[in-house]
Amino acid sequence: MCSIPGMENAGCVFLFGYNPSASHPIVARRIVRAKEKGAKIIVADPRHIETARIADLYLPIKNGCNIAFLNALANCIVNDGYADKDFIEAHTNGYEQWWETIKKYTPESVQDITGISPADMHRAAEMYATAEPSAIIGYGMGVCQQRQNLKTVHTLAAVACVAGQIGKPNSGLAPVRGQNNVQGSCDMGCLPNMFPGYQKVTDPAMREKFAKAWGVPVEKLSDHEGYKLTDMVHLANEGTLHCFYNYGEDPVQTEPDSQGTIEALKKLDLFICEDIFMTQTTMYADVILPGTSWGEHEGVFTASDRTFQHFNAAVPPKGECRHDWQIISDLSTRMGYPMHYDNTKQIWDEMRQLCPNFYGATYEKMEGTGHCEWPIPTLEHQGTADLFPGGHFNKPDGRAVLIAHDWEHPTEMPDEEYPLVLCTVREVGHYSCRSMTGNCKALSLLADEPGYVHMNPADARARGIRDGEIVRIWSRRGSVYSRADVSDRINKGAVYMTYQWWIGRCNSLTLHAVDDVSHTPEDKFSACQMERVADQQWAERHVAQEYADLKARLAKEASAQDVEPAVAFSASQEPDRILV
Amino acid sequence: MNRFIAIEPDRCIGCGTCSSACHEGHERAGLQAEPRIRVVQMGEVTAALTCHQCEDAPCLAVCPVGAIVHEDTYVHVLEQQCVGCRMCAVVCPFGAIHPSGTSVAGVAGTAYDTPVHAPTLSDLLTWDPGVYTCAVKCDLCSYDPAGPHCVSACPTKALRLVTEEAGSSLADAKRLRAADAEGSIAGFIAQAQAAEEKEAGGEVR
Repeated sequence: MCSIPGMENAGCVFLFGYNPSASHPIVARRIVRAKEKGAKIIVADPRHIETARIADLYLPIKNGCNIAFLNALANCIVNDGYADKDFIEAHTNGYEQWWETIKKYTPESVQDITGISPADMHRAAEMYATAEPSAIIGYGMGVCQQRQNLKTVHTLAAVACVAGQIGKPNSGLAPVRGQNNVQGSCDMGCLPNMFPGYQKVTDPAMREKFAKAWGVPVEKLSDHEGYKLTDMVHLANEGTLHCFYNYGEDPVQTEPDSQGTIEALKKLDLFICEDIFMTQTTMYADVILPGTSWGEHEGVFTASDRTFQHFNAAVPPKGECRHDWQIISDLSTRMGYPMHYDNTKQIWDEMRQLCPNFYGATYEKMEGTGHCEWPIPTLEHQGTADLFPGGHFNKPDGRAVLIAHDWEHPTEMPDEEYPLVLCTVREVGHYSCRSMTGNCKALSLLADEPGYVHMNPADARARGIRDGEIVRIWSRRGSVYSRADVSDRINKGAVYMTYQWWIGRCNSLTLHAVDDVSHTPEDKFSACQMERVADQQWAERHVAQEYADLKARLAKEASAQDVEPAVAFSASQEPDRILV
Repeated sequence: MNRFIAIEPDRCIGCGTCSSACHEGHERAGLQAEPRIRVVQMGEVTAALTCHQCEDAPCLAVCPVGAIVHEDTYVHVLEQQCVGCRMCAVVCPFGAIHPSGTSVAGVAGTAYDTPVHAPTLSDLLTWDPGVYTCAVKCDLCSYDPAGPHCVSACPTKALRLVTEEAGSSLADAKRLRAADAEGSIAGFIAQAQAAEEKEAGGEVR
């Protein structure tokens, strides 16, 4: 719960299921600086990631072992005498019950699951728990996109509490987000159970407050939790969901089991998309609303560490494109609730009035390169870099609850037919579904279609695959072609693909299994098999042709918007008249 | 002395920003757009590799048409004069010079690349119909007085330009450190002598 710049000042940075060099190079730079300032670096990852090169201790964990590993680490922290008894006594509840589970997990008992020697586990416990002045655990999608993701977060928080590495500056957990403004969309209530500012929709007092502010009867605001994105597929299939409004997302590319997603989209009565490019998802839309791109809009982003930052537009919107907030206002007005704002500041100020934790984050404070880290409850407040100062947690009695869970194996274990673990990861360069960066020539030169499947030399040799060749990978869901990237940084028995490639689309292979509570998909673990394509020349032409065909299909879909130049010109002059 | 680009591998995070900056700069200058610096990742090492600007450059020595020349403080390929014979690429000890051409994909009716070879083929042997290649290698962004774009683009400052001045100041610093180390040794001897004297009951001054 520390700030990202604060990572440089910790005594120990422990990366768990997080590869900053690929997902956030700016954080990777902080870690290089932390190392140069003398911090100990621990990396636990199945792959020998970039940061593992500069790590003081690298732990090559097995895929899917998270809770077993963390329980054993907690076990070592307590048994080796590194537990912070004063902190546990003063600031936590439930230690005895927690220990009932953790005491079973000696490093020896789970070595087969974690792949980590007891000696290394003891070293990690010592390095993390004894670090001065503080230690940080940075975790990413390697924790969140697993079957037991929420439980792993409970376990991580308990580890930090027991070691006393939380509740002081530059300590605790540093969860990083998968996209640049995921934190912001959660802050602003893009969650099925929350109003903006993490105020529950099931709380009558909150509904009362928002109904009053928005001038609607309180019954108009839903009193129960909504659905989650990953529920969309089965809700559409069973006929519960009739309309889907998709907002700057490409779920066909980024959600698990692409084919299942496409079939569900086709079943909808009405499918609306708001995007800046024709994508494999917008292809299926009944209505496409043209949004503005990153260079055309202004507003506020929240970084992973709760930092609000205002950003400006570089150029005005072109043609019929309109800002997202303008589209929402117009849509709302036409659906019977008149909504009007002159600019984003008006929206932001309304939001601040309704969210006590954000109240002090004014546009004035964010001017230039200014920023605000919430909680920032008053206008005089300067923001909060570290949460839970002095070990005071956001529970009624101010004490953290220690929760332990037993390890469960991932949903789809490898077998004879599908012997390899498929894990989806990030690559540096291209961003997310690649609908934006795929159009950038400089980035295409670094990496291009059909994408890459990263594998260990032993797994490649066993299948006669050479580095750079085209291979076919298949699972119970589908089959794709991709390019082999053979490296001894990859662990044996697992292959890694990035979800951004359109031809080598790993989500055609992934399993649609979700965590019980958060409904986050288990992108990090499904079973697959691969083989070398015998005719490499044919394969090269085939993937190039497939890519060209796909782009042609997208262009054809998009051509519906082509209009006479004269009309296009008047549209650019008077966008409002065309839209009405 | 030739100038050259040096790298600190422990700072490199393998992000490839150097390659992108290299591509962007050369394309805008109307030169071959191919990046001349490449990120190599293997086991324990990640490093950006590029031309060392050798004093006795083998590429320059073998060029049959005089397309590689020694400018003031670096070795330069004249793209217009190069005949694409690839001799320089064969003799380069660092793999830092290679042939590159501008593909016709995307030009006049050809919508996409039609690969005629596997990418595993050595780039010394590849050819594409209708594409004229010439040698490309690092020219320290000589077209831009601001200096090499990769150095200023590197987010972790893993790259730096070594010049004669910087080189000699580095050598000066090393000499000073060596001298200082000798000083430390002298201090160590003095300390040891003092300890011996103390043990022998002598007075410590």
